[in-house]
Amino acid sequence: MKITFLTITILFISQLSYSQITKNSWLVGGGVSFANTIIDGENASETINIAISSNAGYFVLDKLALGTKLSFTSDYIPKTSIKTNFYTVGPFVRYYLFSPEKVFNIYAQTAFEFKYRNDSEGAIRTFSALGGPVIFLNQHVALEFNLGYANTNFKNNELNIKTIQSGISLQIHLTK
Amino acid sequence: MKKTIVLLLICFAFKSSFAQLEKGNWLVGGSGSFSSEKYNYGTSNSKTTNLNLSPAIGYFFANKLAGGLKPIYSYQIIADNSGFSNNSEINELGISAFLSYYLLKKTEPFNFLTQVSYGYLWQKDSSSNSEDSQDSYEITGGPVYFINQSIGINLFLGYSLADFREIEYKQKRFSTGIGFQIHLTKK
Repeated sequence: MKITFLTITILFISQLSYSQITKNSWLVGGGVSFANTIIDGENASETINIAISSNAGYFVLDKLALGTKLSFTSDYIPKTSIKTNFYTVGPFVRYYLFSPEKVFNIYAQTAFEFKYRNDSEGAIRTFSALGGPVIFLNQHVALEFNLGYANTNFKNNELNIKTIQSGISLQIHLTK
Repeated sequence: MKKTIVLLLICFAFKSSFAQLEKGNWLVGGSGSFSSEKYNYGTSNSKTTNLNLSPAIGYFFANKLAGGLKPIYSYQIIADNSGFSNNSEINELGISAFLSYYLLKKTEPFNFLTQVSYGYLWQKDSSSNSEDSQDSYEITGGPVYFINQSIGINLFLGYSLADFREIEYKQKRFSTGIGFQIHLTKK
């Protein structure tokens, strides 16, 4: 009976523990899409878009994840044969302030991003820092709020973009 | 000891069951974002502010059958002092309703999703003092693989038609891709 009770307790605790941010867990996101869009009317046009993005992070320690964002987008206009490709790569570091057992947490993240365009030289460089509260809805899904700042520079000209951003999104966690 | 083994088996069965498609469960998704960007280019500068809200929620009214709503709101204002008068202010407000049905048994980790949706979107451009609205229709389907009790990977194939009411502008779109689905179960 004692063992039964212990098993029930372990089962109950395992259901309630939200250990997505322990060492060896993963943060994942991204998608792949292809679209062919035809517009009828006065300004008729056709475009073909391909987008591939992945966002993966690995917890090297409890609460500390290192990751990479990779993306590729391509826009093609058949009428003019103009093709514009963007390639983006960038590392990020994410740290959670509270212990992994907590359902509520706060995270901080910094990231660099390098974006290249097929028809121009030089990278568009973005540095960003953001953070905010997180609520773990279950063992695999977290609701995240963020507030952050980003600074973007274009190598070949003087254009500089400063961005204040805020958002809400769902994050997928995969545990061992 | 027997009871312990039974409990462990129940525990294992519960952990590995793919009961996302049961009546009473939820589908969730969407995002919200706000950004304020300042562009500096030599002596010229401009400021763009964006607000986008697009939550998505669905509910399983019966096993394998879900219905849901995707409201959308976006606001963009551009203030430009470059002399090109690129100032604009655009509001968009809309909602779409969807119906999803999974073809295979609800307990299978692999399934096949079919979905139809109708959406209405209203747009107003304050800078040109014009407004319009559009109706959109979409049909999509494809295989889904549930990697655990909450997450499904979905390969989709879809076709959509968007038709503006005031101007002659009709958009037809064929799309395919891979994405994630998030399911929240009752327990």
